[in-house]
This record gives sequence, structure tokens and C-alpha cells, in this order.
Amino acid sequence: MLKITFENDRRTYIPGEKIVGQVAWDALPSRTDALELRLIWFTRGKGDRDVDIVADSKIGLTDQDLVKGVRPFEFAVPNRPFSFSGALIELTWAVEAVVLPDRDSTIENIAISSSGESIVLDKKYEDALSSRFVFRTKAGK
Amino acid sequence: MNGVAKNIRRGVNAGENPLRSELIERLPIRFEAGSWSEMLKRVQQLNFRAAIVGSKGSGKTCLLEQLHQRIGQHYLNLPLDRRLHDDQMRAALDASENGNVVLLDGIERLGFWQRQKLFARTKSGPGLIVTVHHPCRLPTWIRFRTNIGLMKQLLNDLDIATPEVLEAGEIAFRNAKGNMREAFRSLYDQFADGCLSHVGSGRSNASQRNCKVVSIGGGGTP
Repeated sequence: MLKITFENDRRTYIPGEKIVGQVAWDALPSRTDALELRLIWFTRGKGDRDVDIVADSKIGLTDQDLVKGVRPFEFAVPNRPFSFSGALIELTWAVEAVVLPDRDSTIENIAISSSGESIVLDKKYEDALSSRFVFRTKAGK
Repeated sequence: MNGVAKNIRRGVNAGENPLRSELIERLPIRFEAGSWSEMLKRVQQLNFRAAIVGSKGSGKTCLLEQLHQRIGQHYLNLPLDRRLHDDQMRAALDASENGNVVLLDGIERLGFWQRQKLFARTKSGPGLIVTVHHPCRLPTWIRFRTNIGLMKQLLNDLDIATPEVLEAGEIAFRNAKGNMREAFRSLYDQFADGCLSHVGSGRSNASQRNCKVVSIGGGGTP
């Protein structure tokens, strides 16, 4: 079991702040070497997906640690990109904890923007954009 | 309806759209005959020199990506963007010389001589698997064919197979002339615009929301 929690249960941040929280676990597989915490963003929607790991930190574990444990984490909030959501594309920030080498993971979404809230794209703006750009696929067709 | 109401989007956001690309890419490959393990055995018999053949939007790229995930990290997936640049060609040949099976998407975009060079230089390597629209000099491993039945099966796999969505899927498939990728994008737009909903209401959202439904080739929504 892996669980990520944030200080004061906070999920919205503005650039320059710190994301502070902790990861808790119990009963990790015996072959676990480490836990990796990642600050990531990813897109979802009609076209190709995009993802970036902006920061990461590794927690080395001993055999005793595998039974149960808690570790704090802290990430500086980057300046960009901002979280946004529209009909064609959505950009989501998240903190992810990954068990190595098995790669089991848990993820908690957050929002980063100048207001601290995910920006909702106006439909008219998205329509104007989509009429100018053709969605790219992996095959480039 | 007043001007303000027209600007309010009633469809789903990208992250909730049941036709978003991450879900389409995860759809299980439906082989005409045989399972993944049988298909892998077959490509092994072909010494990993083989072509995945199919028309545009039939699932070749998805298969190549899933193959990449299955055969492990020692293999190189080298997608092409319009044409193979010199450094990409070098990377592909280096990978082959270093013991990797080269996976190439859209080999028909290579010029004749580039293609010959790639075939020749990877001949003694561990393998070359390509996607292509028509059979080429590499033996055909899998040939994809699309049909409305497959479209409906995939909508069922996506867990959105309400009568309304199935009907819209059939129209989208016909309009896209069998190109599943285009058909899925058309359905994506209909969900985004609120013309379709995967919560079966028993009523047509298209008629409620004044959505335009275009049909060709018969069998469509009036």
C-alpha cells in the first residue's frame, strides 16, 4: 500500500511555493530497492499525450523499512506550465510515488497556476485553435 | 436559446472524454486469428523481419507500440516523422548493429534508396519490424482489416457501447471510410460537444442539442 498526502490537504499551488507532504507505505514487496517520488505533468485528450518528470527524489529502503514507513517530501512549484482543462486537451500536475523495480505506483493530482486553480479553456478559444492546427498522431499522419 | 447559453460547453472535458487517446492506445489488439503468444511465436519464426500491413487508422501503430512494450527494453522503437533524417537512419542502423530489433512506423514514407539501405544494412541484425499500408519485401506478419463489427467491439471494450454511441460509431466509421482513428476522433468531438453521452439516457442527445449528424452510405441517423 502506498499513500501520498499533502500538508493541510492542500491541492492547489502557485509558482514559487513549496509542495509539502508525505508518502506512507506498508507491506512493500521484498524485492523493493527504493521508492521514487516524482513531480510530473501530463496531458490527456484528442491528440498525442505528453508527459514530463520535472523533479524526482529517491528514497532508499532497507528490509526493515519495507514493512511500514513514512517519509516527508518537498518540491518547489515550477513556473510553468499551468494546469488547464478544455474539451480538446487537459494538462494535469501530479505527485507520483513509484516502487522500484516493480514500478507499482500511486498518483495524486494537484493544480498549479497563477491563481492556484486549473484554468478552464473557453470553448470558442479552443475551436479557434483547433481550426488552425491539425492534430498530430504518432505516425505523423 | 440566448447568446450566453450558446457559449456554455455541455460536453465532457478532455480528461473525461471516453475517446481520449490514452484509452484508445490501451485497447487490446484484436487479431483475426490467434493470441498474442501465437503472434509472437509467428514473428519469431520470421526471425523478427516482418511487416504489419494495414490501411490508415487500422491499428498498426498501436500494435507496434504494444509489441515494443511486450518484447522489452532491448528493442528500439523509432517512429518516423514524415521522413527518416540522416541521424535517425544512423540511430536505427546503430541500434541494429548493437543487437536491437528495430521497430519502424510508416516505412512507406522513406524514399526508395533509404528503404533499400535499411533492408540491406539490418539483414544480418536481430530484426526489422515495420508498419506499411501495402505488402512490401518483408514477409507480412499481420494484416489489419477494419469493419463495423470491429468498431463496435472496440466501443464495447471502451465500455461506452450504448445504442446511441454504437449508431454514431457506425456513421463515423462509414464517413471515415474505414479509418478507425478518424472515426474515433469524430466520436471524441461528439462527446466533447455534448452530442453524445456514454451514460445511456435512452434518448438521442444529438436531437436534444441540435447537433449535426452527417451520414453517407446509408444506415445513418436521419
